[in-house]
Amino acid sequence: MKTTEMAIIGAGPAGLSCAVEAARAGAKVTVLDENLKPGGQLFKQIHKFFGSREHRAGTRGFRIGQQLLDETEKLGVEVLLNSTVYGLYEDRLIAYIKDGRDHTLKAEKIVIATGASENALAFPGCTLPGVMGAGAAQTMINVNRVLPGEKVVMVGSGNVGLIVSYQLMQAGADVVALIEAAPKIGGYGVHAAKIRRAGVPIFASTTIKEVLGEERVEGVITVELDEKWKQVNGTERQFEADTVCLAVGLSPLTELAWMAGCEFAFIPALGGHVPIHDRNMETTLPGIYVAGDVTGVEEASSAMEEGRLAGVAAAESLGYIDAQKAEELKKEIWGRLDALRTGPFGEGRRAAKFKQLSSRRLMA
Amino acid sequence: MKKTAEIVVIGGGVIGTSIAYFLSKKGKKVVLVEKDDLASGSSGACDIDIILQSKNPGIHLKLAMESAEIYKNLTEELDFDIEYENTGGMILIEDEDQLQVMREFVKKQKAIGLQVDLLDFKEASKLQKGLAPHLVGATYSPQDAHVNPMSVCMGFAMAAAKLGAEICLDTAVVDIKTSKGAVKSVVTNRGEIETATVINAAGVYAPEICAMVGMSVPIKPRRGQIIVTEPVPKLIMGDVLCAKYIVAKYNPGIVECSDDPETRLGVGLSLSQTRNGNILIGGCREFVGYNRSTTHEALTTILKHATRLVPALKEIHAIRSFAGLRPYTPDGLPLLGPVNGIEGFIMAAGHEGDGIALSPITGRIISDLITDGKTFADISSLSPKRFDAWGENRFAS
Amino acid sequence: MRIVHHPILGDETRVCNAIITVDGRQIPAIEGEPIAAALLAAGIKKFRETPKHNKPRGIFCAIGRCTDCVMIVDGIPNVRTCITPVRDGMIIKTQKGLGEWSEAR
Repeated sequence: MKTTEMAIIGAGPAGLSCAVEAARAGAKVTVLDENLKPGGQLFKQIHKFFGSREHRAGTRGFRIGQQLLDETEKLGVEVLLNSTVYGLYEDRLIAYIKDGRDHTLKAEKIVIATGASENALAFPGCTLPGVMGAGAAQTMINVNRVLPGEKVVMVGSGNVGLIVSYQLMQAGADVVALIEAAPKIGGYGVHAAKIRRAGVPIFASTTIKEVLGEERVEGVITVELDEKWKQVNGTERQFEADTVCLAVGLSPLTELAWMAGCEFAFIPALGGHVPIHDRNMETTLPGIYVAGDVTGVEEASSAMEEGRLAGVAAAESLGYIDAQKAEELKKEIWGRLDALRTGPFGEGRRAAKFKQLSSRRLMA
Repeated sequence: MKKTAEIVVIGGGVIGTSIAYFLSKKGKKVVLVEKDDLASGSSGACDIDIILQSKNPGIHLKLAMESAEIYKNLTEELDFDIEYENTGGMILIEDEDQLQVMREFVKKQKAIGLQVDLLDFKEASKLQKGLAPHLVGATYSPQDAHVNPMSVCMGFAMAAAKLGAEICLDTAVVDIKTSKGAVKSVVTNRGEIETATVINAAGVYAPEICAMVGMSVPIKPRRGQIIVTEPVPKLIMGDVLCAKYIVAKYNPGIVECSDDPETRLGVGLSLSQTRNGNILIGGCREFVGYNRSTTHEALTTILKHATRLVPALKEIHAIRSFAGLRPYTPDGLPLLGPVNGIEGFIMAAGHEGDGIALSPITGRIISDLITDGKTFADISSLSPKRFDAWGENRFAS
Repeated sequence: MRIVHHPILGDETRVCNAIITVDGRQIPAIEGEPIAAALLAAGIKKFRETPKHNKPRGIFCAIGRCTDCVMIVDGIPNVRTCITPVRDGMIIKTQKGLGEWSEAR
């Protein structure tokens, strides 16, 4: 049976950052990913990242992805692509399918960095071809260079909704409206200002009443919401559109953590059920770590920092980093994570993460 | 808050909900307590077969046939779609040795009145496509059927509730109080229920309940694992088992000590296809305590075995797997009826893998016993009293 | 529609070098791109019909999670077109319900 010191499931920002950190310390690292290309969702992020210089602010996501790939290659990290991990069994046995065949891998430490997937929203017509996740549209335009549609209604004004709206316009689409059920915009002001300047009408306190069409999206009827989130008759607007993008949050992809037997906490601010972990990113199961969106939905910058934390902590427990050095490294990373979780947008997440970190003690 | 009930049923699986329904139908005031949710134990982690052919000729098969009769009209009776379908079923035979065993099995089953026949490979292939050419034949019975066990629990529980039963979910029994050798009350995490009659339908957890009245029963969890495929167009004709399954089921001694993983894990084929098109591929029989995890070894061994017998399965993707615990008993028969020494304590557990098939008849039998003191058949061989010596002797060896 | 010019990504340098057949119609594609991308580029949005109500469905997540985009590819049903790369000569069919068992299977 194939063995490794450290297996990382998911070659996205968290998984790759983790691999770099652990391999740099000297650990033998294997990364598994079901996709044909590594990078997770980084390669569709063609915008410049926020934060400070340590967070590579000002660098576009796909360039960060390329840098991470270059580093993993330089450090000799084994990256198994087209490898779908379907099971985590007792004694840290990983089972995966590659090229239609069953394989197993035994690892001393496992890091689950499986990310998150987009939420759907129910309304009449929500299943019509042309209704898709905003991230799906982003993948199509920025990775595959194909426009999924030409006239788009964007639902949700968080950063995903705002950024993808702008990127759809860069790709040549017309964003006919951006609607938000809450009374105000959810994402950063700069992103919102950018699409407003480009002439996209933004409607707050508004939701989809119905999507029109038989075989595909042909139009969208929106309706305003009162302060009790109830639809207000007579406030309908109709838009001609062939695409509806849903940017209504993500849910952590936690199946493997559940299967392994990790304990969970329910924290809506992080996307629902999330595995409980400590300040080393270790779950309630010794030797099994989590990093990135699977621990609660945030963004790529914090996913990378969590990956580094898990990488340092796992390498430390494998004996590749001494306790003092590890403490220093972890302190630095926590400093950057805390910085990412400040301000009006970060505080909520900071509080939620604190709740997650303290869940274990509350349960005991 | 203390409440009272005529009868308390412990367990919200196919057995407990059936009993609650049949008792309610007879006008009894029932409270059903379930520590988690309906069908959250073995009834939600099993296949969908109501298979008669796999039952030992004797009281076992007789009850299964009576049960099958009740199933035929149960959707109408409960006014709930339990996804019943009379599909028929077959047991695949790989070699001459198995053929000998199955020939005897079929003869005895026929004598009891089961419609079952031996088919050669050609005839079997007409009923089930994609069979491996090395098979020598199969048995076939048109009486086998399918049902959705979770819907059965829901259907029974809702029908019972309509008749006045109270269904208490998320309610764990923590103690049973007795006085002068008779049941007085059931203590739960949500309060105490005064009652003179308790029915232990807790499946694999029945021994825990028994222990509360100082009784021990030889029910042991026997793990099974099942793989679920993507939904595909109709491929599996009904319940498809293999002769090895029968051997593993009734001969735990043989399977325990083998080096061959297929034998050691008690792997035997069990195939069925749900209404949505997912194929359930089982199974195995392992004694691993209350561990409900799946294992890579068992899943791959089950798949290897299944694709050896039905190579057509190789083209289908597996999308999920799960494990469940069967309430095993040493003689393969359930414990039904009153016990010695504790008046008002009634057992209805230990159905191993036959809980789905025997669910309706168990409800009927227990309700008969409670209201009339007798039932339609001689079920003395199912009496819990047959294990009285076991409780005293189990530490001796 | 393919994005030929892009302010950040620059001009498209790849060219269509494969032909795939979708419900009998030949469309140009780029070897290695997801099947779903080639279909959207050709204006095809309906990928399948649901088993119970025969409702049309297209892509939803585009990362292989949701299985809304499954089609019959070279005779095999339930293929996730958003993560399955194009090969020249692929035969793709709109999946009706659960698909069919072909004689070969």
